[in-house]
Amino acid sequence: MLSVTDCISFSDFSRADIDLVLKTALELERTPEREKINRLSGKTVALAFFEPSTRTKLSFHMAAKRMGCHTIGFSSAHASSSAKGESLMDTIRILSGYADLIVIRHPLEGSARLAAEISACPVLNAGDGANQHPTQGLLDLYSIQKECGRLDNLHIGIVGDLKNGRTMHSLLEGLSHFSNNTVHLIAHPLLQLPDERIRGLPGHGLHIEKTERLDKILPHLDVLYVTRVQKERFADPLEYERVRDAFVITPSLVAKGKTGLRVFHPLPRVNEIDPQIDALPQAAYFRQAKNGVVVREALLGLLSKVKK
Amino acid sequence: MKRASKQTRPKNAHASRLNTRKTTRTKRARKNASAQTPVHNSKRSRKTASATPTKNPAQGMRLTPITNGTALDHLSPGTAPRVIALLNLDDRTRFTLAVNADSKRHGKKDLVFLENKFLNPTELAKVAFLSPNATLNVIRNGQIELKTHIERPALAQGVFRCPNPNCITNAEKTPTRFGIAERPLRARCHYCEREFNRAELEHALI
Repeated sequence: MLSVTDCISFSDFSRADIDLVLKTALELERTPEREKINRLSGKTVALAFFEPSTRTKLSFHMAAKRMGCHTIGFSSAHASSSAKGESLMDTIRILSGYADLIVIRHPLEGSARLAAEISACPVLNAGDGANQHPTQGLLDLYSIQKECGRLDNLHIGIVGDLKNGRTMHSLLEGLSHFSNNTVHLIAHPLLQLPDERIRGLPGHGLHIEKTERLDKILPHLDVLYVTRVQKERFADPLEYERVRDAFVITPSLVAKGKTGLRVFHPLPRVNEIDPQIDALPQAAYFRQAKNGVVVREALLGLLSKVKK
Repeated sequence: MKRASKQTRPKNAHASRLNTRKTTRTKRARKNASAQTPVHNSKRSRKTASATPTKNPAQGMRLTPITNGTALDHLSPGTAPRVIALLNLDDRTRFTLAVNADSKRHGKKDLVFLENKFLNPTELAKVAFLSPNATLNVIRNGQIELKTHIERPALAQGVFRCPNPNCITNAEKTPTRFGIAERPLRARCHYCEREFNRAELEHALI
């Protein structure tokens, strides 16, 4: 049983919770579809997406269907009563009367935490602004464990938009629960992770280094986690143009890495990974996206058992 | 003397009751008080409070005495007007304030006397964040019922707006909540999980 009643932030998760989710996801991956279909039969999952999403929304939808749930919800704020001025709190109160689980994505930071306090049923955070994306973080851990065989003693390079990307905040918090990992934060100075974000990490054995030199670090890496420069979070388009191509991962660059190097990306990508890498064994990002379904199945299954 | 403009001074007022009591303090009483009273959260009985006054908070300044209410002492110099503004007092509340009074401990300090007004934990937290050395005196029937240093709480609820414009608390009608860490002072928003320093927080008091 999870120690949390909602999935809002990695800061709420204990190591035991993370291990339980990863173990349950692995079991579900090995379970035939026909055996999963009755696990959450009769339950309703509300997908409250106030922001556009492809992978996260569809993988939650798929996970709910595979576990036998009904799904209700909306795909943008314009398609909900928030377009008429309804508050988030009122929307959540209504949804918690209809559903057994609520999945929320919202552009404002802390929205999922507020929703969890209002809702009578468990809430899963599918991304709140630039803050957290814990289900992505869990599927990243699951994917790294599958691809690299472990979650400790790793050299991990995280490259791209570290300031605005929420997925890497969750990934860092997740990795901080495992021992002896070194994380190299590789970014343009304008996109580097603020120090206050690092201070907030639990920090069990997580060694963090900041750099701008990907070529120097790459030969040492087990994992290269690439993130998109978040155009939608730039107030100044010129600033975006200045930094968008700061790091592009090419086949020649990947060839400099270890043979066991794996390249991950939360997707969608724009031009930060050359498509020629897709065919290489190092390219783990499509397998990573596929893992999202079983990890979300595991979370829906585990959270459906908790009492709020 | 600096006084609130709206306030009229009672005919028999000479100096604040705090002042009067404090100036009568004997060396022996002072020694006993310092030995018996912890630095923080020292709750005294009425008898003890009146018998062991502390040192003069505003030497040379006269403030309107209050029989019931709150006296805020050792406020950081220049913060008294902001304290009054943050407390959202109603039109009927009588108050007196002193700015840049002499202080043996801190050199200068401000004081605020609030008549028939007792501060709740949120209001006290606002004072504590604005003025870290502030002392609270609760006065009932002319006696100091409680004298204590105002501690910053570990959890500040409804004390600050979140300085992060993208935080949900700036869009929804919900009280803010911050976890507080000391040395150096930092506050972490319970909702957006961002951390803020002293300078950011001082502008965010509500």
